Amino acid sequence: MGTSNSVKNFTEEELRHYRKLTVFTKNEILHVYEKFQSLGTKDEPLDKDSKISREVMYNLKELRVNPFRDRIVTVFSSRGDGSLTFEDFLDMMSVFSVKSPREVKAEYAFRIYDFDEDDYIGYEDIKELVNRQTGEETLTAMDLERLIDNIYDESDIDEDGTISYPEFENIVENCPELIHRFRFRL
Amino acid sequence: MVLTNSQMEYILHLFLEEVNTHPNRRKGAATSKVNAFIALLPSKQPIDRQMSRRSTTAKKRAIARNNKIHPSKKDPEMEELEEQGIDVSNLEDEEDVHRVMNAIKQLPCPLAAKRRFRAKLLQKEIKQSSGCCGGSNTNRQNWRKFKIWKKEMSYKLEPWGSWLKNVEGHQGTGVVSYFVFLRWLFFLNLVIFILMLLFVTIPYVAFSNNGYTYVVTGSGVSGMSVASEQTCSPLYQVNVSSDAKTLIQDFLQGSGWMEKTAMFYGFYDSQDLNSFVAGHYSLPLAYLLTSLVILLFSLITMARYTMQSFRENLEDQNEKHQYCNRVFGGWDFALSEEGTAVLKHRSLYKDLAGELAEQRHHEARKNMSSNDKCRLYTIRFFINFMVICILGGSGYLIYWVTDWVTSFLADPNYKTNNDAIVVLLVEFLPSLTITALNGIVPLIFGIVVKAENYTPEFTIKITLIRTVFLRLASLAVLIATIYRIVSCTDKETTCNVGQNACDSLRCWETYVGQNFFKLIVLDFLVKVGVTLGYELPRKILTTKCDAAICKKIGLAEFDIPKNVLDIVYTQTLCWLGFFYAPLIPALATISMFVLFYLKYLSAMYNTNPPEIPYKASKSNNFFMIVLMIAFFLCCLPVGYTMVKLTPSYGCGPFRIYSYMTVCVDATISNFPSWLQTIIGIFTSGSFIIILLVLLSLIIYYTSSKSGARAKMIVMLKEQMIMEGKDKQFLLNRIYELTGEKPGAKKKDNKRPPSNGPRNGPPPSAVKTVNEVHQNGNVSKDNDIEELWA
Repeated sequence: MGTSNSVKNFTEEELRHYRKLTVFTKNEILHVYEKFQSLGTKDEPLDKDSKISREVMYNLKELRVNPFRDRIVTVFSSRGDGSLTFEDFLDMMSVFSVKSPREVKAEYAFRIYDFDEDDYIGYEDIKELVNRQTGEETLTAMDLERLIDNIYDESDIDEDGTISYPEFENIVENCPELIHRFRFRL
Repeated sequence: MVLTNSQMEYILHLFLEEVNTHPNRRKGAATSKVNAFIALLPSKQPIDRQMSRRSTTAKKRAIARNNKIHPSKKDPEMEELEEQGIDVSNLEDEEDVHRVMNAIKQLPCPLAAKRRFRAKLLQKEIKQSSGCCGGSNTNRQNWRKFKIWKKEMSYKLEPWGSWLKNVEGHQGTGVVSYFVFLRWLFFLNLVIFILMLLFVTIPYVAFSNNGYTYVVTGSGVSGMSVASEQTCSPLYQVNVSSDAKTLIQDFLQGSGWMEKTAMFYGFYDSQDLNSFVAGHYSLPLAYLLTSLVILLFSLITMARYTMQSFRENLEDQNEKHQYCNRVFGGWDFALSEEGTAVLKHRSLYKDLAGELAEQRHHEARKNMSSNDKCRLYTIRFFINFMVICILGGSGYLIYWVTDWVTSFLADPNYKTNNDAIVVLLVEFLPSLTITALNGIVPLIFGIVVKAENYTPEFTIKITLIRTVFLRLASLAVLIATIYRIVSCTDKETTCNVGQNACDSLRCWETYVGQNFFKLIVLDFLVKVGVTLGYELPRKILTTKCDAAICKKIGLAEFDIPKNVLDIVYTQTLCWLGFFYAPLIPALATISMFVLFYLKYLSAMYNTNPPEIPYKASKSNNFFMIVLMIAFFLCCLPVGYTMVKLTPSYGCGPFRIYSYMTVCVDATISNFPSWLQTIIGIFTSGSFIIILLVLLSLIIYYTSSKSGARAKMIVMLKEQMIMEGKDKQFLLNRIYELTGEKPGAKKKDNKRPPSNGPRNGPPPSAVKTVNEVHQNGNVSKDNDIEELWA
């Protein structure tokens, strides 16, 4: 069914290249490609050179209900405009796969959680993070402030009021749940 | 160090010169010169040049040193790779290229960039490596191809992979960790079953036997008696009736026709088998060694599993990062369904709100009056005492029931005097008692723990610990009771069978095996019953009935700790029972297989994810530790049986020996004498003592090393704090000198331009100083006071 079509699209050479550049095996890469193609429609089928816009990307099963999906698409979009080519998509699935190393996940988690893209996770970033996760109900302002203070107490080692990447790495070391939950099963 | 004003002005002059000669390349930079300077700080460089933040300074220094020694023109790509900490300066042979390729794979950058690096790397001319270890180049390539093929195969063959994905999408990673654990235990049991089958059951059934040859009796070994075997074996009779009802009953109980099958110990004989390998095969030795290998294999796989997760999870540090864990590790990226996502949001909200409320409570609790504290501690003491009483009472109940049942069944007329149903009930009474206690008492624990007023996390922990204790203690009492029955001293001399006050058991090992058999069967039936009888009705109620009360009852919750404890319990039974009933692992495997599908249905359709977010890694560690404790507790009875107890004379693979380990002596006595001396040395006391001393030295060394590392961590953290304070101090001085007030600058919120990687201005340094001041950080204010003084 899908597999034979996708094999026609890739040469052995390309598959080997992808295998060497990501954590996937050949079969997994073909599986990812099937996923990519499933986002297209009958009138506009997708192949390895097409790119998907942000809205269509949101239909992906794993991103449908994810509160951070806009950040994920922005971070992985190599052109910066929120559209993903197949390689961006492969990148994304590779980073989120179970086999990808912790350091890579920590790096991308940092970028995703850095909402204002200033290379620090600051007060506003954490506020946005918490609000997106609690969904419809939000914590009171006082609670939120105390929560962020607690977080800074625990993690802001150089006490500059933001969480820089080394401090985030320290958090990842001590909170295995972060990496544990930061994945899509293929 | 305090600089004078003129010194600071000079420094600032130099800075501003620097800024003017390297005009800021980024668009939209704030106009302030100080900001421009701050933007040049190494820690503020945009991401694509900063991927090297993972590489240590030592590495970078080493590379720079190397460059000085071998200066060479470099491509920009190679330079970029070096900045990221990958040493590309001396690429000589394929091994180096392979190493660099692997490092490129791990880089956190887009595929296009990786491809660029790779292309550049492949362009270099590399000479063929001369084989040192591992033969030629082609050998190494073949090995790599094999590893890749293995990875491809294991992906295709991952059992139940798509099922796990469905559960993960519906319920989240916490519940999936239960299924992963279940699958792991299933494979462990499968391996145990295959080992037993291969080395004990199949040889005994397939090969003809040679009788009690020198292979099993050895030469000149004491503690053997073939004669008593001759008299006692025929005396061990089992009544097999052909009544259909009795057949089914026997199947469930392990008595009657089941007792004579390969399931139980009594089926096997202590004979030498005519195997095609060497004409001889000592079954007793095979039985003993296979059991030991099974225990060892279980231990090694458990240790590996635990070590893998230990590396990710150090217990005490978790306590200090609970808020970070909740906020950064809160959302489960695997969720893909609307309904559960809403539940997850709600659960996260409740968790955070609850934790913050608990913090407020905690403050209040600290200020409790001494009267209240006294009351609280009395309540806690009283409840702990009550828990111990409950445990003691349960233990006594199990003991009493087992005793009564055994004497009831030892009466030769019990079958004729009673109905079949009554007999069935009585046979299962010990197992029923244990299972009922295991179900009811944890509920009682859950209710009384509320009065103790602990923090929610501690409440869960202590209830779990009490439940584990209950389960292990009930098993321990059962074993102790059985031991008392089996080691009763009033035995008749010919066949060592109990008489008068002691219950007469011709084959006591089979009796023990039957007890565990009944436990496993009942455990399985109860699990099926609970899934179908408790969760299914609730689901039907919720979907079919529209009344408000039905909605309030709602779906059941997938209680992960209880389910995990259930399968740990099954595994404990399997380990306890496999020595007395070699095919019990088959039962455990089948039970886990069926359980997987049953729980899958339950997770997908009948239950909701747990309200309290489940910390998978921390809890997995806890359950692994419980499994290990259970394992060591299982080794005790099995080991004691092997070494100290007299095997039955009339049945089993050790019937001619006075102790089970005598078969090892018999085999050793058949070895050539030089081998015997060597074995003698290795098992002597002095050798063991030397080994123990060596092990203690190694433990001492590693523990002192880890102590030193912990001290180093504390020191480095303090250094980091000092560095941060230094930076703040210097920034404050700069602001003070330029006359710019820190609060005057607003953050530039422009989005980065779309044609390229992020290069927007990072003026967050201004913001951080703002925040530090706003948050009322007293020490910083003091610094500023000093400046003006």
